[in-house]
Amino acid sequence: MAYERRQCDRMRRRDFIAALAGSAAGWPFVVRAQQTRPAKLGVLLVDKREPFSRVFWEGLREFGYIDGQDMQVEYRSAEGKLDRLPALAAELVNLKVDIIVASETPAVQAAKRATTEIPIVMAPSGDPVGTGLISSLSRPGGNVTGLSAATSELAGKSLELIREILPGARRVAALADPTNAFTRSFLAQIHASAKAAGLEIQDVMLDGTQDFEPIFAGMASGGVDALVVQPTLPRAPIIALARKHRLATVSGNRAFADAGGLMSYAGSLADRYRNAAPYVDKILKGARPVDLPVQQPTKFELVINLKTAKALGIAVPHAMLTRADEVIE
Amino acid sequence: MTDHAAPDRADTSPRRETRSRLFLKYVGLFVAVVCVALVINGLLEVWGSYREHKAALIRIQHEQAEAAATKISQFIKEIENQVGWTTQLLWSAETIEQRRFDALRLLRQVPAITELAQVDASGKEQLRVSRLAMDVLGSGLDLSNEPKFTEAVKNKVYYGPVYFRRESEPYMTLSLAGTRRDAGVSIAEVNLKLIWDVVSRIKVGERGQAYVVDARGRLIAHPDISLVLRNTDMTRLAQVQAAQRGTATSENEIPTATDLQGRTVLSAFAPVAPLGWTVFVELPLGEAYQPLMASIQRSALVLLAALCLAAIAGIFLARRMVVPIQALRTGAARIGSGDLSQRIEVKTGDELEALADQFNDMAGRLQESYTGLENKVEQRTQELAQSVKELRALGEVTQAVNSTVDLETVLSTIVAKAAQLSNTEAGAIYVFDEVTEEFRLRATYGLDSGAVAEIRDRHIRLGETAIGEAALQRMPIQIPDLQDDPSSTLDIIIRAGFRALLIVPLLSNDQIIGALVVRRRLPGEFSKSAVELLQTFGAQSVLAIQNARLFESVGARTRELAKSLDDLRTAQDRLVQTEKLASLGQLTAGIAHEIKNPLNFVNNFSSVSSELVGELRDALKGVNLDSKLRTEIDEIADMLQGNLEKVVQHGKRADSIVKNMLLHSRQGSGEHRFVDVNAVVEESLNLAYHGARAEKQGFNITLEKSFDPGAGEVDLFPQEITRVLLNLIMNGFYAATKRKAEANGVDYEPTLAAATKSLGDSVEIRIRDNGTGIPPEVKEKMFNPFFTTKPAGEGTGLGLSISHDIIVKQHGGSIEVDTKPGQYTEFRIVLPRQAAILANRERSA
Repeated sequence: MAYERRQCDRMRRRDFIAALAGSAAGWPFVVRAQQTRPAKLGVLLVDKREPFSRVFWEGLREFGYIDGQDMQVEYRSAEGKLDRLPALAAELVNLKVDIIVASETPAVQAAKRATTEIPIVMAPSGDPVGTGLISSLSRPGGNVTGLSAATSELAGKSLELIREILPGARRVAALADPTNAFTRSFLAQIHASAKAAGLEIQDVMLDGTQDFEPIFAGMASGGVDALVVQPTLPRAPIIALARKHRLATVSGNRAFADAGGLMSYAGSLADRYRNAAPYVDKILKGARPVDLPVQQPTKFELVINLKTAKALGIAVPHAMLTRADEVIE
Repeated sequence: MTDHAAPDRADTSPRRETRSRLFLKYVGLFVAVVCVALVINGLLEVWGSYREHKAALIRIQHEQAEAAATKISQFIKEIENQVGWTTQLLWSAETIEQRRFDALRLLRQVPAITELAQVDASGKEQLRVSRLAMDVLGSGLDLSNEPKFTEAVKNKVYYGPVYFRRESEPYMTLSLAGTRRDAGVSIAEVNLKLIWDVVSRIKVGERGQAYVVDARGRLIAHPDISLVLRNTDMTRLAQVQAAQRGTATSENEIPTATDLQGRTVLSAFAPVAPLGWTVFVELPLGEAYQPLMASIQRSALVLLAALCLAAIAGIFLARRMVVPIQALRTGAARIGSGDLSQRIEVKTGDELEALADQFNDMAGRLQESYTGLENKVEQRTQELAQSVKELRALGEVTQAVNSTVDLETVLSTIVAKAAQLSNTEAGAIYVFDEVTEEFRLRATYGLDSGAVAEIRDRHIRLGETAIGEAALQRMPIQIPDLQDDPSSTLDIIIRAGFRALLIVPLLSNDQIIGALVVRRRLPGEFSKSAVELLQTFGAQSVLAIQNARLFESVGARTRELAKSLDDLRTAQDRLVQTEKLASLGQLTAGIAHEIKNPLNFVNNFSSVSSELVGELRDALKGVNLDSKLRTEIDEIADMLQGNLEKVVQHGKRADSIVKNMLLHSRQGSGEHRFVDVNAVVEESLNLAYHGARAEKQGFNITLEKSFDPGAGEVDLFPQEITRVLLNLIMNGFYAATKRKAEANGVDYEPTLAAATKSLGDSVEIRIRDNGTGIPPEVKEKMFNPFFTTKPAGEGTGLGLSISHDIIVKQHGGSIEVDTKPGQYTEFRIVLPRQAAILANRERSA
């Protein structure tokens, strides 16, 4: 209070002096022009643009970026066909974007192969140390930084969820993409957790060339109760076939549950997409990717699709519903 | 007065210096007094506000640090409370599933807890719920020796050290023991990344920041999460070291330190009570002291403004003091330097004005005493000046007498000076002519030319008028008023309005030389000094007149002598020339005689041969020859005869030339006789032409003859006239040739025309050339003896002079020249038919 009053007194005196000297001196007024060239951002996705774009932009807007005005974003999506990623990454490099934001490991990998100059922000990538994208979380090294998704750790958590929602389940198939670098740590984690969960694991490799139908039919007849789906696999056909063959599905990507999968357990959308925005901002302001440590998710979300559960004839336990962060009805 | 100007001016510069010194002293003192007051005030003000500001800053930052510490404690306490719920129950009271469900709910409510484990009273782990790993029930893991169990049991609560999971995220273990002995311990792994929300919300100024450091100096929370994730060691910062050493700065002082970015910051910290952490609040120094700087700037502005005001006020006051003092000083200085009319203007109404008035009184008295002195000095000066003037005039007159022999000039100078110095308007000097015994006017002053002319015509005899009288008496005479005695001067003088006269006779050994008169328009006596002055001038005039007379007689003698010398020279020259020509004539006569004999042979034998050819033709008439041969012989004979006739013809011509040469060279003027004028001119032309051609190869000129057949015979001396004509023709050739050379290729044809014309009793001969002509200055002198325009050696200069003598003196004729420079020259000679006879008669007479 004393400080404020003092300030007040001084203000009054300042006014007096200003009135006295006002006629003698005019204060120069400097207006600085803002840099006008919009930043150019390349976004490389493995599947649909949403919800990535929406959540990511929420983050960018917090830093004051306006789409099309001071930030121009080029989206490239493989639409589920991972073999298209290298070409798309090259395209972005040719566009001379300032930063490439790549979501999921295959996209990051494609981007990293396409350029060692342009900074790459992962949004996110599972186990980036394990897949060799970065050397360590605190000091990534190279032109890659961003968010790590704890997907491999969560893969074990997926088995727990299956056991809880289907207490009778014995056999679980792990659907993985053989071309994805992440697959190894993904499967390793599942196998490591299987014993504790009391589940038998069957590895099923899916690449873009196969007909999924016989594989799914085989799984259904082979006594598989549930599927743990690697997030980068094409969502739509897997969800459709799983429903058809009445297989419960769980995945480390929320979009999976939204699209009709039974469950997803993953870092929150903010942790997955939105928190990439600070990296973009820092890099645009001159920070080097080497100096930006990789962040891990802190908040995890369990999403249960009750419609799918009903369709599959699964009665979700009350405890599960209480635990769930979101229930789709 | 002007004599005082120099010291006055010399005074100026030091005086000005003095003025400014006083002025500056006043202004300086005033400004200094005001400024010292203001500066002290300003400094106190700044110091005060600096202290207050600093104290306020310290308070604020400490408060912020405390607040942040409180928030962080609350954050941890909150977690503690939440975890505390799980320790309320007895292990026997609930199923493990029930507990797991509670744990999962806790995880949902508290996002910072990543893992929660529950240990029973014996230290065995019963349950572990995790966000990442699979939940574990009843693992029975023995934790009884772990500090997180033992410490919790001992202290009810245990805060583990901060560790970095996967070397990236800061974590802390938080253990709580239940209030009952057998309630067991709940162990929570807390993700400290979430403190970021707390820390980043703490606003410290514009660019300040707050961060949290754990007991080991590791960074736990920072607005830049990257720094936390990189597990930054903060112990290298001085402020962190200080805080950890516990030598923490006292409450009232904030040390300035350097932050991670190298900025100088004000740093305050507060411990987070139970955890051993420290919250640091840092504000860049520049930002912290910005209001203080603004305050100092304002103070400086005030000081500047006050300085200006003080200066203006000082100047104003100093002027009020210094200007009257200055006026006094200048006035006093002027009076001191002699300007006594100076009065000092000071209207201040105080002591200064009284002082000025006293100065003015003093100056007035001084001026009065000065005036008397000055008058006397002036009078003496005037007298001296008059004497100086007179002496100077006398000197000038003497100078004039000595330097010039022109009597008029000298006398004019004398009379002018005499009139001026005697204060009269006019004056005159008369010179006495001893032959006619009359006075003649020689110099005047102050009279108009009409009057002078009239006086000049009047001759004043001895005894006539006052001048004559004075001369007779040999005494100066003055007439104070002419109206009383009009007969004493000429009526012209009275008419001119003069009233008084003073006459001084000019005498040399009692002999009358002349008279000096001065005339005045005002009547009255002349002073004695004036009479004496005039006598002095008179004596000078006598000297001048005598000098002039002497000079004149010397000049006349000299002129006579020079004339006779000239005459002698002319005679001598003529004698020499005549002698030359005579010897040349003799030579020519000899040669001509020798040539005449062979020429006679040629002439005679050629005429005989011509006759012989005729005889040969006659002799051949009888011989029978074929016609062809005859024709050929006839042709040859004709040619022979023709050739011989030419020989005869040209022989006769040569004979004539030789005759002429003989004639020309014959000594003396020979006999005069009646001669055909045309023949004489023709002969002269031929002789000159051949002479010129003989002299110069390639000489060429067009000869135009226009002889009047009626010219007839004239009685003359043929040789003399031939000489004249030859001379004129040769001159014509020379001029024409010269012009041709000068024409330099321009179309010019040298021509000489000779013409005769009968004029009844006389005959006219014209010789005209289109040569260079004669310039006027040459034309004037060309009949003088020895005058020539030809280069030295080419002419004697006697030609035209002798020609003139021959024509005019010997023949009683006339010779004239008409010329235009660059165009032509024409000589016209007129000879009376009886010329020689007449002249001879005259001579004999």
